[in-house]
Amino acid sequence: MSPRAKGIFGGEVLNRIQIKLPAISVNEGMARSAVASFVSQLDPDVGELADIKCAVSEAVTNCIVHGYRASTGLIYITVTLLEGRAVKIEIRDRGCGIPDVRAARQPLFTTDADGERSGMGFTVMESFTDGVRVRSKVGVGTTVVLLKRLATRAPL
Amino acid sequence: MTHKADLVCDTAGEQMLVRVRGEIDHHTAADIRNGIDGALFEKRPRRLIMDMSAVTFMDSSGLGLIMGRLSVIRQLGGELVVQDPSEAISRIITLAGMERAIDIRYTDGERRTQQKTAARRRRKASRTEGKVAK
Repeated sequence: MSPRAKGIFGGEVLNRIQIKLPAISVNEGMARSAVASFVSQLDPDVGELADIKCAVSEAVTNCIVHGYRASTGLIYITVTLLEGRAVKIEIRDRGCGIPDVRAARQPLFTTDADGERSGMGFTVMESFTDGVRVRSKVGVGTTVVLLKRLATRAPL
Repeated sequence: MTHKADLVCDTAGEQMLVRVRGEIDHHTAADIRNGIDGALFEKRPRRLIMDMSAVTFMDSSGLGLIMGRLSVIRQLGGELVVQDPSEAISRIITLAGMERAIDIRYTDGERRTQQKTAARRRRKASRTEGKVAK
């Protein structure tokens, strides 16, 4: 990420929402819709909103499929709207953690080949946002931060 | 608000048309997979057409779903066609480099040309960024 982009995501906070929901698969749709609904107040275009929904869906699915695996737990989502049409979405679990984050971020990497996982989750997140940060500790959990800058809309 | 998906299977001769409708994610993919595979093993068509025109959302779970069906239909000696994916869906397919492995068809010729041009532009852009999946 460029220094300029970092500056944008350090801007003044306009609004924020926190969502806490059980790591069950039915909540994948709920999570992406809730985030999209909140971000809608910045009037993003259809493509930007689709990108955000897809990236959130990937991160939340990772919490459920990988973070908590057979166990259950909570997913904590914080969406922050910042000055300069910047959106920061933090998705956190208290699951098993990722031993090697760099390897996990590689395209086609998956630890669940039997489950028809494509291994494209992090690649999708990276391609559909302007920045992805991952912090993880084995046995403690994983936090994924998605950064998205919305295009400036021409006044009506 | 519901996040559901369902499908309709139509078999005519050696061809099976599956219309998938709704949102494809990790939650809905299992039922779609079971529905398609059940019909595949029963009818054993030569060609499976997955009509994606009514799919309103798809994440990388959809990629796994498509690649998994490709693998099943190949085991049965048949072929897979992915029909009428939306702009957003073809974008994620291209991101995974899957358009090289699967047959994507559009029933509307004009839209097909537009989407092919858009896909080429995206591939070029992602190559420049060095993000394309090998």
